Amino acid sequence: MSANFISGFSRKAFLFVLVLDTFLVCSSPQCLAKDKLNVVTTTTNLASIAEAVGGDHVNVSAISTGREDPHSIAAKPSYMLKAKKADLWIRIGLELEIGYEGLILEGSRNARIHVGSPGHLDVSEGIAPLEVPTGKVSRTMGDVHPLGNPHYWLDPSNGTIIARNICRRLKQLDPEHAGDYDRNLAAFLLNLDNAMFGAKLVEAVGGEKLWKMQSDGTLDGFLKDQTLSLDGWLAKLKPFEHAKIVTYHRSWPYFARRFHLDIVAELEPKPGIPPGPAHILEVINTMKSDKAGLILMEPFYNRADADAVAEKTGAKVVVAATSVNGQEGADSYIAMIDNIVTRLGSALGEVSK
Amino acid sequence: MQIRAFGCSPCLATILFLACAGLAGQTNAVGDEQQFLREQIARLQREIKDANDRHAAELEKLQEEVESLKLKVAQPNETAATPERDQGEPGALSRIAQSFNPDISAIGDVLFHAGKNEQGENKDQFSFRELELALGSAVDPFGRADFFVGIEEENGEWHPNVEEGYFTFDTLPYDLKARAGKFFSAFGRANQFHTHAMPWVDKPLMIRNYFGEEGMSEPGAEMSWLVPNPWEKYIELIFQVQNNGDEPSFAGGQSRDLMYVAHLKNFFDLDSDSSLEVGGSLATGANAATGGGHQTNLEGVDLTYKWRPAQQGLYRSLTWMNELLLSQKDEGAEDTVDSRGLYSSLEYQFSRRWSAFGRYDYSQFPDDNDSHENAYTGGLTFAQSEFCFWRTQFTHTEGDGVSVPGSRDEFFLQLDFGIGPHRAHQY
Repeated sequence: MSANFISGFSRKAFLFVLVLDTFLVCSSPQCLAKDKLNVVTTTTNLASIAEAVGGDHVNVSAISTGREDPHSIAAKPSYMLKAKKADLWIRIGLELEIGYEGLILEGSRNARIHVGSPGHLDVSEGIAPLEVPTGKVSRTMGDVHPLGNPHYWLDPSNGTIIARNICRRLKQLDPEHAGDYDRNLAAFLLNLDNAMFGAKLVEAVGGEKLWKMQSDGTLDGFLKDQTLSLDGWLAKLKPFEHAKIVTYHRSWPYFARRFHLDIVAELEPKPGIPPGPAHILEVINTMKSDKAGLILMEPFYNRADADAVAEKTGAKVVVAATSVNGQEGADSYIAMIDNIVTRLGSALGEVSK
Repeated sequence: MQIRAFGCSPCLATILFLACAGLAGQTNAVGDEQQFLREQIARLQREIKDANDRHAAELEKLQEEVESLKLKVAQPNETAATPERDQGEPGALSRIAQSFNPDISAIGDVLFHAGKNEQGENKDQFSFRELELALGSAVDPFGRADFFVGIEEENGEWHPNVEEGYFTFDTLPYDLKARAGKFFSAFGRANQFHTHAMPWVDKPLMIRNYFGEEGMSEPGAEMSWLVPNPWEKYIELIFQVQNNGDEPSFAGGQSRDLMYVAHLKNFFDLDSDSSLEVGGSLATGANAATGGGHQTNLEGVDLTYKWRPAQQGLYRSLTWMNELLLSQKDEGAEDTVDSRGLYSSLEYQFSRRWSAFGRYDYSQFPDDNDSHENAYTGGLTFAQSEFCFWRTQFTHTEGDGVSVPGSRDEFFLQLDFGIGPHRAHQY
């Protein structure tokens, strides 16, 4: 085959693809029907909450599948294509998406969703972040987030803030359906309250008051004077308050604080740094001295590290997804939290026997 | 007197009646008062009991709070981790002060080379191959600027070289994006890699032989369009106008003209774990042959398959990258040199930190299609962290023809490390 023939073929093939693409552009519908807002979220958790609040007035999609590590999503060109059509882009914030968001937004050529535009929503607004470094941040600290730990969605109380933030922005972008968004928000919050405290208690006391009392530590005292008792996630994990656990990554402080669990160590020596033998030994010693009987981790981390520690300590390993669709059954935000509570409660029950 | 007596008796009776009534009333009042007092005492007793109960409950609650606070004090992670946003004042102020500064990063690349180099000379030496300084930030609401300055050592002297420096208009309508400045030509994929972003120690022979060691990067302007299509696939058309200062394919130091580059990029998600990118490139411009006026035409095809399972993406991935370049360089006197180059590279990540790679290179030369090189490369990369990696590479190159020095074996050990918030690279 001569170089001339290859050259001619290659040039013709290129031109053919170019002409075909141009034809398709001219024949394709330029705009989709704009009867619904296109919402694109970085994580599936945000997509689930946006779907619940937006209801029939939004088309929601997430760029991630829920199965991957939310820190290490790659800026695939197909994500730029999704972002191109978005009326609203929603991110977790606190620099969780720092590794890929900029490239996707720039590649989308969609000025509506650039940072600072009404179509760009950072739902960390109003969240009280944990682990905010107060001194100089350095990479010696590992993959630390200067604005605080970004895994705040694992506290269901923060789920209410996320939902309110989304509702507010949807009403701003689509005031015509503001009433529907408010109703959807109320329904979502009620479902979340019921899942957390039990429907009877929520009906008798009110969700907002219960969250407040649970946050300031007065709920137990209040319930002593009541004929109604606690139900839901809080009741499931109540018997294991202050149980000592170990986690793989520093993803769980928000969840642990809400359900009064004590994290005594992480398998990663520093955030984002895989565990080495010396640190594993240190964790084993800590677990033995603190009598920690459980290792909690996400499905996208290597279970072999956790199993090695469990073998030496007799601890149980619980694998629970922190994202919607990250595990079977975790098909909505509430189901995702429920999945964690159920797996954790069951394992802690066995550990405490 | 009788009358007086009779007259007095009703009065007396009245008095007596009133007295008795008063006495009776007084007796009743005393009883009521006693009852009232008894009730008051009972009420006070109840109130005291209620107050005691309330105080006991409050005391219990306070004790619980004290226990809770004691527990929080005993957990430094949580106490340090519960401040409201305003509580991190020093950090917040620092962030505000820095918010108008560009992202600045510096990347060092240290290389140890053993064996014959491209010039056929034995070279067993360390070299600080490059210091890359990268700056990037939004300029205004309409676009951003990025600068990449490579500082390299050559014959004991350090030379700064603006690898890229451009303004990106990313708020244009109709799915358009534009750049102006100096940037790598969008000819295939490997030409656009910065040193630290390459999956190998060196660029493929095809790039080095046709575009020079650094690749083809020239001042110019670019317009790209995200092409809408019924399949809703990513199709991007890029058109660049740049100086024809690259060599040896174009005019090099005798550049007085422009070259034109077009690239069509098609990206398909095969499923959630794998993707395929197919691209076509064209470049045309005057070369330096016989004082100018003669054209070089380049055509390229690139194909990249990537696999990264969503759930195991931290530990497993595979990239298979291929490029073919065809060149027609008109050197005057009805003499056009038709030549070609290609490479095929496979990289497999087999653990969180380790990956292995192999590459096959074939390349002729833009001015000499009677000479060619074949190279076989293999190596390992250890990612110490996201910001630092070690790489070892062995390359066996076979040369045939007057433009190449013959066969050679090279061993490389590379350390690449960066500081600062370097921007992520294109997928």
